[in-house]
Formats: sequence, C-alpha cells, structure tokens
Amino acid sequence: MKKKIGALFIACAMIGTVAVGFSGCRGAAPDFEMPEGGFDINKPVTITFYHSMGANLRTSLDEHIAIFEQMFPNITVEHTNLGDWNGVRDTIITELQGGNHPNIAYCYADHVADYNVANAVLSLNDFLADGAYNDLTVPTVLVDVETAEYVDEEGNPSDEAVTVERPIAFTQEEQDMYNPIYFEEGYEFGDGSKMYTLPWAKSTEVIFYNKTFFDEHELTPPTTWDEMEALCARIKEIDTNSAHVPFGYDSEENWFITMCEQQGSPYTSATGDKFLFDNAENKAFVTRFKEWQDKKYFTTSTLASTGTNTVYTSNLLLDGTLYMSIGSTGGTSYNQNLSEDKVPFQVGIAPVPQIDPAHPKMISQGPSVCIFKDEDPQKVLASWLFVKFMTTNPLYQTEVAMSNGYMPVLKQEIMNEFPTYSNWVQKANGSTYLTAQAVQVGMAHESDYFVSPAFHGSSDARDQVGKIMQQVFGNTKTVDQAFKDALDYLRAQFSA
Amino acid sequence: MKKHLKIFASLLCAVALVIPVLVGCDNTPDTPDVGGENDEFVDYVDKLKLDMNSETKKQEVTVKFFIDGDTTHFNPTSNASTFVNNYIKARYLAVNTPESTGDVEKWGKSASNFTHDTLDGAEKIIVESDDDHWNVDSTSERYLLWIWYIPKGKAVADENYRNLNIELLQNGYGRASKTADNRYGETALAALMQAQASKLRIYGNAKDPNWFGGDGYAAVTLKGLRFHIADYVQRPVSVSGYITAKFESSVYIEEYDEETDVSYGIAVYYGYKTGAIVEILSVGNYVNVVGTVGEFNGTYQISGVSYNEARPTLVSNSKLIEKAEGEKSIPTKPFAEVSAADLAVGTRKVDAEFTVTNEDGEETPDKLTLDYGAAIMDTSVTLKNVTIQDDGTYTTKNGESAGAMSIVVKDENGNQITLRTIVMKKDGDEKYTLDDFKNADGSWKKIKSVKGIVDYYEGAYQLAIWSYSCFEFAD
Repeated sequence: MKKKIGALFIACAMIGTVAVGFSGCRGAAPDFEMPEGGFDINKPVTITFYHSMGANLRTSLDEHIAIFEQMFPNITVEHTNLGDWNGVRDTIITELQGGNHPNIAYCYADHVADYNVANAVLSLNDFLADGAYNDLTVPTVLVDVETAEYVDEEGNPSDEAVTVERPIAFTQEEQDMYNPIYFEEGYEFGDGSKMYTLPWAKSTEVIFYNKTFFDEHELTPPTTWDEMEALCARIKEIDTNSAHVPFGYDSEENWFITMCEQQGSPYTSATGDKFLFDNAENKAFVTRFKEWQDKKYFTTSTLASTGTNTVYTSNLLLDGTLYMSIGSTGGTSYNQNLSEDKVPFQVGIAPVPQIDPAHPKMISQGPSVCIFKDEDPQKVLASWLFVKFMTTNPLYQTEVAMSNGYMPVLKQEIMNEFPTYSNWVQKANGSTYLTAQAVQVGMAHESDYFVSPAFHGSSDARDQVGKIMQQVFGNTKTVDQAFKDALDYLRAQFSA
Repeated sequence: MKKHLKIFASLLCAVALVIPVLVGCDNTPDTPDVGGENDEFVDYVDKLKLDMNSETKKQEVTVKFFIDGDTTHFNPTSNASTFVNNYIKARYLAVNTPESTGDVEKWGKSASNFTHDTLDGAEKIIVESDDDHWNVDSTSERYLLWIWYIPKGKAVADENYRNLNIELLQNGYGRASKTADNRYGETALAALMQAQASKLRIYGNAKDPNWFGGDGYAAVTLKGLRFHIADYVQRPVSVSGYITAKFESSVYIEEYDEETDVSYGIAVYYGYKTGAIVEILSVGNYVNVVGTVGEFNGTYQISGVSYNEARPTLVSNSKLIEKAEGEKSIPTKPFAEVSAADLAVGTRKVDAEFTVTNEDGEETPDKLTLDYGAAIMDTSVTLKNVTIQDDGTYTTKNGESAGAMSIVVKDENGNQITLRTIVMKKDGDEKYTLDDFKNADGSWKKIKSVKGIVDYYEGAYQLAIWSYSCFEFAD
C-alpha cells in the first residue's frame, strides 16, 4: 500500500495539486465528458453487468437491482453470470474486439490491465468526492432498501414516490464508508493516480479444518509452514489410511503467489522486467512441497480432479478424506458439514500458515467491479449510479457475507452499526453459521492482505506459476524445466 | 323465472336490512382482528334457526373427512343407502370459499381451517337440502347442502343449531355463490354484504396468516403440486409440510391428505445455503418452502429455496411454521407402510378431485388419477418383511457414488423392489458394504422393516435409503 500512496502523491504533485487521503486529484482534466444536463431521467437506458455469481448471490442481486430500478425508474439493469473469473475475462476480451462489451464487470486489477490494452475501462476519478463532478445532482426516488417501499425524506413510508436531488459523485461521507484497504485496491492498475475499480465483496484464503478431529487428537492448526509439515507427519501417524491426506490447497496459483509474498521473493513487477518468479527461493519452496506431496501430505484441486469431474478440496474435507482444506472464504458455504447422511464434525477456520508469523501475508481476493467506457454517456452514468448504490449498501454487503462468507467492503464500524449484520456475525459457529466465522477470521486479518502488481500479462503470469506447481506435482516436468517453460512462454507472449 | 324474481327481491331486502344494522345495532359479538372496519356487527347466524318441521330433507351426519372451506364429506348416521356410495359429499350452498386443495388462494387455507375447527368436535351436525329433494351439482355426486351444527359444549337442542354456510359468509371467508337464490337467501346476502362493508378477510387488506403466496409465485398444496407437477415446472411455488428426511443436500417435505389417505411430498434441494434456513429445514419442523420447481432426470424437485436472513420479514422468504418438539416427531403420517406390489408401475392408483373455476366463476370438478408410486413420490415410507435377492443386487464401483448399493428385495408374495442406498459410512471413513447385510454364514439377513423415500429410476419406483439405521433386521 505504501508504494501506491507514494505513486498517487507523485502524480498529483506533478499537476500542482495534492490529493487528500486516497481520493482523486483536484484540477485534473475530467476523464469522463459529462453530457449537458447531466443524467437524463427521461431517457430509458439499459446497462449490462457481467459477473460470476452463483445462485446464492444472484437472488440478492436481483432484489437489490429491483430496488435500484425503483430509485431510477428509467434505468434497467441486465446481468449475466459467465460462470467463473476466466469466463468473464475471456468473454469481455473477445467482445471488446467487436465493440460490444458490457457496461460493468466483475474484475481483478489484472483484468483491467488486459482490458485497458484497448483503453476500455473508465477512470472513476471524476466521480470521487473531490472529482470533477461533485456539484452535480441526479433526481433520485427515495426507497427503503429493507422493505423495497417508497419513503419520504424522513424515512417514513410513503404511498407515492418522493424524488429528491442527490449527488451523482461520491459525497465525502459515502466515500469514507469504504474500508480503505479495499478502496485503495482500485488504484492497483497503472501508476497509482487513477482509480479503475471499486470493491464489491472481498475474501482471503483460510484453512477450513476438521475441528472435531483436531480436538480429539489435541492438534492445533498450523501457524507456520514448518508447523504444517510437522502436523502432516503427525496426522499420517494418527490416520494410516493411505488414501487420506492431511491437507488440500484449492489454488496452486494462490499458493505460489502467497509463498513469494511471505518469503519476500520476487514474483512480478509492473515496471521493468515484469516476470521475476524464476529464482532460487521460489524453486526451493516448490521443491519442498514436491517432497511433501511424495509423502502424501497434501493434494490440490487439480490433482484430485479427474477428466471433467472437478473436485475441490472442500469436497474432500466433507468426505473425511482430508483434514484441512485451504481455500477462499468466499467459498465457505462449500465447507459446511450439514448433511445428516455424512459423518458429523464441526469445522474450524484458521488463517493460512506463514513463513514469518510476525509479518503475516494473506492474499486479498474477491470481486471488484469496473465500468467500461461507452459512446452513450447516459449508460456510463447509470453504471456509476448502480455501482455506487450496490457497494455502499450495508444491507447488500450483509447479504453477500451471509450467503457465501465474503467480507463486506465497508468499514467494520459502519457494518457493526447495522444490527442485522452485527447480530449475524455474533452467531458464528462451526456448522450453520460457518460463513459468519469466516468473515470474523477474515476481517481480523485484513491488515495482512496483499495484492500483486497488475499489468498487461500479470493475469497470464498467474496462470503460468500455477502450471509450474501442477506440472511438478503431476510429475510431468522437473522443477527447473517447469520454471523455464513458464518464463519462456510469458516472454514470448509479452516481449514487446 | 321465479328464481330470478326471488334473487331481485332478496337483493332489495338485503340492502334494506344491512344499511340500518350497520349504523345502529347493539348486537356486536367480538370479531377477530381480520381487517374489519365496522364495530356494529350483526350475528345473522344467531338469528337464523333450523326449522326441523320444514319440507326440506335433513340428515344427521358425522364428518368423514374435510376437503376445504366449502366442501366436506360426511357419513350419514342413518339412511346411508340414500346417498351415492353411501356417504355425502357436501358442497355448501350459497358460499364459495377460496381454493385450498390444489392452488392455495389467499384465505383458502384459513377458510378450510375455520370449517374444520367449527365442525371438529361439534355436538351434532345436520345437513339440509334447499327444498324437498336431495339436490346434486353437475358432478351428480356432490350434494348441495346447508350445514347446521351445534357448537361443542352447547346443549343438544334445535334452537342451538348454527348455519355454517352463513357463518362462513358472515366472517368474510367466502364469496357469493347464488347466495340470494335459495331458502335462506335474505340472511345469507345480508351476512355477505355486512362482511363486505366491514372489509372482513377476503374483502379487506388484512394479512392471511395461513397463506404464503406472493407476487410471482403460487401457493399450492403438495397434493395439488404432485397431481399437476408438469404444469409447475420452472414456476416458483410456495408449499407447506413436514420435513421428513434430509440427505445429500436435500430435504423431503410432505403432508398427509385425508381425502385420498395418502401423503404427498417433494424433494427440496437446499444446496449450499447457510444460516437460519438450514435450521428451518430441520427434520420434524413444519415449514413453508418457497422455491422453483425443476425437473431432474425424470423426477422433480424444488430448488432455489428463497430465504434472505438479512430480511426476515420478506413475504417471499421460506418460513418455519411449527418447530419440532423434543424428539423429531412429525404429527402426520410419515413412513406409511407400503408394499412392493403397491409400487409396481400401474398396479395401484390414487384418484383425487380438484376444482376448476372458469372465467365466469363456475366451478367444475377435475378428477385426476396417478400411479400410487407417482402420487407418493418423495414421501417417506416403510417396507416390511422383505428378503434380499442376489439377482440385481450390486455395489457401485466407480465415481462419486462408489460404495452406494442397489439392493433388490422381494416380499412374501414375490413382488420385487430396489432399495438404493447412498454411500453409507460407519464412524470414521469406513463404508457399509453388502457384507453388512449378510449373516455370519453368508446368507442374506431378513429385513423386518426398512424406511426410505420413494424415488423413481429408469422406469421403476424404488426406495432411496440414506442411513444403515433405516434398516431393522429380523432376529
């Protein structure tokens, strides 16, 4: 984060004005050309939103879209689930070539880097509290988001729609609602002077473990990778079934990148030589984990899957064939052990192991959203209003946390003032309220989060380091060969 | 022609009757909080008396079973041979309550409950014709009747009979159905108009506590859903019943129906839902589930269960209606005993009758028949005294179902059915195998009883088994 704030400071100083906090730069020429008259409430406008939300999340999305459409009756929001992150990214890259892209999309900073090869993503600086348009307003119908009913300016139910003028851009109060850690990720792509994304929901990786088994054998979750190694050896002594493994890691990509961050070894850089991961420190941890794999200490989703049958390590945790599953808090609901036909056990959640527990590092994941430029400025404005509504909406943030275990992107003090949320978090347990426990664990460690540099090619770099792990664990390549091939591939693709 | 004149005259009388009483009557019995706006309430039911000496036909009856608010089947206490099939399918005269047998309309279940609660435990019940004949409707089976009852605890005396038809109208449970065109037309119409003027129940905006429909989804009984299942595919529905079993990310919901003496149910896939909804869908609870009907490999289930814990008051939320007390007891008829013969395709049928209302508000019966197995699909049943057969019994070797078993059993009459287990685990990771169904000498254990859920696979009904504890073996 320090790097980014530094970059922001420099960019602002160059044009003679210093931004306050993490907001934009006063005096900069606007990136978005506001149409005369601002947002036209009389012109019907339809905007499209690409995401990868599962069914659990889509119901809530639909309900809040309906509320948003009450607030802005001329706006229609259409949304499409493209299955997974790669589906969103690949579809949009294809559509950008044909000029037929969505208005809003789930994204990581990596994706923005790819989209911005075509200069397609809108900078949000103009809509920040001190941006170019902070004096413009838009007629907004007052709606109670909990009841979806009209209210008056005092918040009392109203039979008729009451319309008031509300700022188009962020007010300072709205902007200050965001957790600054997540908000600043919006500056991740580029030189740090422009915000391209807003956080939608956040997650990190944790260990989901069979707490009943751990308690029975007086085991504790590992805080370091050395402890993990010793714990694996102990579990193999307790459970001699050769088909059972102590832990599983869903994402080889995350594992590689997290290890680089934890041990401070180079991975990538947004400037200069971009692909830095081919080094001795990184080969050392891959070699170490290969030795673990030979002892059947772990599996991964790739190793466990066969053909078209994708197996996540959460499946194996619930089947009782492993005791720890390292995966995203956003997938917490898949780690619940609730079916009465399965062997019952309580699930515990712990942070991922570290190399140096005094300086912990945990990957920051979860969707952000970006808005695409469009020849119709009304679509851009409608998209902004929608993104602003959804991401500053404590009720929606609560529903996302409840259904999947994502962490709200708003400050904890804001969320804690919202009784529905605070009461729910208090219910955290190892069974039906496992998502609440995941949010608790995740938020307790939010100061440990990191993100990787985003640039054109960073998304591919991530894919390639994952392949290194997969190839070594799958015995298809040696450590040296896997690293070399990954680097050769990236240099060939992005040599320019 | 006479009848038309009678209707017109009745209307005039009713208007003349109602207007003064709404403003000045002292006879104001307590009325429930059902949205009524008028404190001056006339108990027309109390004013109307049964004339035992009139020319009409009268028959003392007991309830055979309840259907809905305006239809009940009665057993005559005498003269049974007078009636079709020796019992009386009574369609109440003058009143049409909202539907509750198939699609559940607002106030339909409440009207049904009112009729049930009123007649259940009544000291005496008499059904009366409108004239000197036992008149039937267009089905030739349902008798058009007035229902008189003496409330529980009241002395058995002629003056204590109350007219249920008019009581339904008076309380706003029913709409007009040739209300003025009969022997009690004036009173019936006055009661109806008072209910309208008072905005009671179906005439007001009060919330029906027993209706769980809403914008975009239909409230339907499990019986109605099962008999019309294809019509509901891809439609959001709201159903109520007891949770009888839970396995493989699904629960099974069922409710017993008196008319057909069958429980009806459906699987509810709750997937990876978290929090309160998981607790709501616990075995033994009586719940209302809102979700979408889908077809899956020739069977049906409800998925996309609607529940938003952040907004517990949402009308579209699935709901806990009654929590299971102590042990997971289910006060309907779960795990009804079935035979393998019952579940053979085409051998046993279930007939049910629904009411179809056309655009003109005219009701016609809709008689439907299902295979017994199709009718009780997804419900909990018990199969007794069967033996395992070698032929067809196997264990799945590969894939996600490796370790699941198909066990073919035969009853004493030679009827066969398959029991399909999930992968059943002992404590730890050890799986149950076919050896656990064998005696020490290698022979098959005799199954005294086995509990399961009725399922359908490749053209035959089978039982889905979720636990080794579902089996009880003979000594």
